Amino acid sequence: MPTQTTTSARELRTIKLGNGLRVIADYTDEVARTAVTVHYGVGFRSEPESKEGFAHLFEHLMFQGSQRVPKGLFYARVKATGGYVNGTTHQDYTDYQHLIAPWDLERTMYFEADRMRAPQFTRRSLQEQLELVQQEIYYNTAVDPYAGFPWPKSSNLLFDDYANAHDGYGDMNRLRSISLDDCAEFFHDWYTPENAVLTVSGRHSMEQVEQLADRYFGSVPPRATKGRTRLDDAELLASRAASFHDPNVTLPGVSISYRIPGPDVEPDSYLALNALARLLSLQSGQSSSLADIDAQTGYFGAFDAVTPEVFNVVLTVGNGADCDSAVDAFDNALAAFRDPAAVARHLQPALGTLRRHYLLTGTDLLDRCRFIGKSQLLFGDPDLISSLPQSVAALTATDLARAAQSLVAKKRAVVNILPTKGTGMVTASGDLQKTLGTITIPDGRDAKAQALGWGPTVGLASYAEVREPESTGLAESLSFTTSTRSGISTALCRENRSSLVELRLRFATDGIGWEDPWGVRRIVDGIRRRMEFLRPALAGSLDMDVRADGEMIEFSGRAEQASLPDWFGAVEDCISRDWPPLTPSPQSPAQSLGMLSDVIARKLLIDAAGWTGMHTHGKTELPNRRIFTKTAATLVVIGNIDADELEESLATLGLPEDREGTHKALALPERPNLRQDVHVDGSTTVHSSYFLEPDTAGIPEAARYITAALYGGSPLSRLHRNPLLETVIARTGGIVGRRTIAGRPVATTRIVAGSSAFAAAAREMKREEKSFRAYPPAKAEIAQAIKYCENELRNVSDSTQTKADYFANLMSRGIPLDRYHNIGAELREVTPELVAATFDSLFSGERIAVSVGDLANLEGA
Amino acid sequence: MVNQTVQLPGLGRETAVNDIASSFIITAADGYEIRQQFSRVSASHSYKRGQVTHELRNVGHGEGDGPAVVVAGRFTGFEWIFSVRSESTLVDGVLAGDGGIEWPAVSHAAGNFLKTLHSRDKDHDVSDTGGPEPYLRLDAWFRGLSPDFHGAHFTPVVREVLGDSVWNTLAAWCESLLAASSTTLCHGQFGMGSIHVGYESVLEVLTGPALCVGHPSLDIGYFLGELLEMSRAERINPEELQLSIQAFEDGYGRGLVPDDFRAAILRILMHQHDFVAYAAHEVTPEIVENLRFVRYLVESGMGSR
Repeated sequence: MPTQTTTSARELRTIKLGNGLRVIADYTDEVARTAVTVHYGVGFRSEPESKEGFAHLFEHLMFQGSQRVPKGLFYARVKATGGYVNGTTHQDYTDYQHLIAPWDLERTMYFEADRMRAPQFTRRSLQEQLELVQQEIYYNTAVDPYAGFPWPKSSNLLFDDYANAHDGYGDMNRLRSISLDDCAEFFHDWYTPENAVLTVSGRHSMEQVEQLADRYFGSVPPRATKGRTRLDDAELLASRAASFHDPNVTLPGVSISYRIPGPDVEPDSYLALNALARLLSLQSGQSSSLADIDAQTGYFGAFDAVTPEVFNVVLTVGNGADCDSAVDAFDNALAAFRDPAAVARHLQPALGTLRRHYLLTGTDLLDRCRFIGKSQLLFGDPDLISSLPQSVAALTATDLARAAQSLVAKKRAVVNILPTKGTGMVTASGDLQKTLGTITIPDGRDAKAQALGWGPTVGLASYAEVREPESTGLAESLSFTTSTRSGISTALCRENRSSLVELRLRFATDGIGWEDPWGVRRIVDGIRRRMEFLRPALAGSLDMDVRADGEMIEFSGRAEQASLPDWFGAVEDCISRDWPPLTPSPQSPAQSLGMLSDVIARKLLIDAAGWTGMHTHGKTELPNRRIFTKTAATLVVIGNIDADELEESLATLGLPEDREGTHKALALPERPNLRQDVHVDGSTTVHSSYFLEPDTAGIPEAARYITAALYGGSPLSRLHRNPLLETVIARTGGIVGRRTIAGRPVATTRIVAGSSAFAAAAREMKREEKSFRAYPPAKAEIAQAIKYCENELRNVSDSTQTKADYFANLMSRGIPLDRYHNIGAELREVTPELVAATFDSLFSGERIAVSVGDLANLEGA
Repeated sequence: MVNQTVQLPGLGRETAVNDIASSFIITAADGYEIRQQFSRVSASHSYKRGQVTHELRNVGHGEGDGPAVVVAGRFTGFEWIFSVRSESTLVDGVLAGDGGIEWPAVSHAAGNFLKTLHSRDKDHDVSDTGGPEPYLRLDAWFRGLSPDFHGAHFTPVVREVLGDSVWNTLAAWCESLLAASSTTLCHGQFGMGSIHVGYESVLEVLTGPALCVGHPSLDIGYFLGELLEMSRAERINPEELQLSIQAFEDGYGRGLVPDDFRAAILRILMHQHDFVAYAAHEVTPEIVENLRFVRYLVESGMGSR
């Protein structure tokens, strides 16, 4: 039973169970899902000498089944209901995270309680996880450019004691010697109830959380936690330097690290350093020898470890410059900030971005839950995230100047990463496991592990008794009003989660985007460049970004309430210029092939439809003035702001009324099937099928949503569960993310595969298509899909950003915003017959097939 | 099903756990105690079965009954408890592959046990559930009414491997056996996992949780299907299989009839379904091989003559 209760000023309650487990209930009614985290006070600074990487390996092992929850069922259950589960290992803690539907809280508690009580360590799971970790280490240290720079190269130079200095990725030669009993001992020493914090964020009453925590975790026997090794928190006595060569990097990089006291010892100076890091990062590009400055407190984020912490700066060296000149440029910048007057000129942008960062962390469901758990565990203050925005705002130029002075006075570690000239890149290819060597677990040394995993079960119901709960449906409301504000179609959602106002301003590019998607991207690149120019002046109170997808251009971001006019004013500034041709931003190969497929499909469609084009003034005209009009715009505003304030703010955005001819509808092509193959050098091939959705009036949105989820749009779909189809996507006009090509709704399937696997995957895809038609899903599959789709919709409320994105998607496609409220009931009316009919309608009609990639070398085609 | 074996004298261990059932064994003063929970069976049905099982507790203990005895389960309201002398099931013995199972004799005893059970008065109040729950589960699956996502998801794989003709044949067999009017008291789940071996050559048959009224072939087929599947997996050699079937017939007192083989083939299919639906949640190559075996059995005429 609970033995101690405290209530904080916010709606946070912390209780301590009799076995020492701290339980935090974080009530909020703005969300539709629930976040659950369990933080254990053990990280890689706690792992024993000679067992580097054990904490991370152990995190993997904790997902391999426990006494009452067999291996594999954990993930399967969470995935099948659209939930999310993950674990991460840090310096001083390891956390396990869930995002679930509210009705799944009890089962999640059961899962976590069972593995806190009796995880199962078997030879097979240890071997499997060692093999995975071996690959992870290989990718992170040998293949990934900069190898996770600055950590762990920097920590190894900055510190001398094993706990701080060693490589948390691990040494495979040592990890191979780990026995099952080592695992049991590590568990016994560190995974104790008193060394853990359970946090639940969501719409659960304090009483419910307490009751469930007591029911499931209360019977976990208490035991003492191993004492922490004392960490070396002394000042560095002399600066150090080292250089490494990496064949996978093209530009030199520099890391400069300082030992600093953590927030547990000096919270005020830590926060000042945290803000100084922002200030320094905003100086990127100020010197030709220094292309970028990325400064931060902590290797994995601020407030993430106890003393000794690090202040770390990563410098990207400018073209033609060397590491020393980059370090000099940084030192000059740092030295200048010892003067409060110099700081004052940049203070507001630095504090503004940092304050907004903490406001966003405190309002995103999972981020908030994780921060609450770790700040309780590390600093004994579960509500730290609520006070940080205010603390940041209270910082002064003198505070930051003092922080800069403290760094200048410190000794430090400087690590250079240099390209290796004339050396081939290291890539991961072929049979990696064969390359890295097989793992065998030595016999014996497993008695403790067996006793742990198979001991008598006390106080916890059998797994078979924990049925999957029935969904309670989409009962949560999303309040909003829609109207036309200053000529722009606008959705306003009032909520109090944050003092920031979240914004999405989207412009449908229509025919201009269809004809010249690359031209649209050039506009976006120009806008982005202008934003960078404006950022120092605006970052004190707002964030802004821009993106485009060939169908629309979107401005997204957020602003302090008083700065709303500035946000729209910045948009006005960006769109009122003519942008010269610029080189589009580079994309990863897979992204490029996918984007290229979309562009080709669009071109095929508009050609076949006899599209006459929008460019009445010739191809050389820059079309941005014709894109950014009131009729093409939709606006979503989320925050505690009233309609009049919004109207006033919009006055700073002067958009023309309309554009000529852009809303010309695209007639469907007469040719039923279109196909295009495009050879592109490389090892990846992408095959996309775009099925033009027929007139949607006869097919309920809910049926489309469920059909796509069951066919290929979710982890429980047939395509995803087919082991021969590793990368396959099937999407349709679900309300979470509708796809359009040239304004036409399309259902799409896409295979991404290497040359050797592509032909087999294509055959398998064809077989699955036939199979789905011949044997459509039964009731049980639909029932599960309903839960999945409901839960996916629930994530709309996880944060103000997710909510804004959701509404922006609906708004720009003319879908009524009350879909969220109605879809819950509609999903439950979908029948197997309706899914079969919907599949025939969506995935069997006219299709545009586009293959892009290494088509000449496909094996078995 | 997931079966884990760990030898830890003095400690309890979970011997099987899946989405719908779990089994736990602990050492007791005079042998072992098996505790089983089933998540889908109503308590009222279980209470009634518990009463009937209590009345059956002497089955197999009488003179001339043969070396297979009822281990009558006690239903406590949420779990069934059985007291056994041996901790090893017949499945454990067969999978161990150490020749420790005396095959023809075991089958003879199993046949004899069912003969005795099936001849008992069936007018007990065991709740008319419509037949053995495993076969009812299979029937619901054939009809597309299974409540299990992973089971339903398995359907297209099965149908593609079996072909629509064999699938329809099996569905019709299942429906017909469950609708048959010639019924007896049935064990309901007469598989190798319910039979404990190793104590003085006695088969200890855990009885109670699935007790029902149904077609006797559904009990016979349950056991026979497992024999056939073990034979396909080369856990029982062909000669042993042949002798075992003959011994079973001798023990049961009649030759096997098509309905017995139909129920046996259905049991093999049921095993694949249950493994995918409640334990593995994925289709393995071995499952596909077993499905091909089912198809072969149907197409070769077993069950039709």
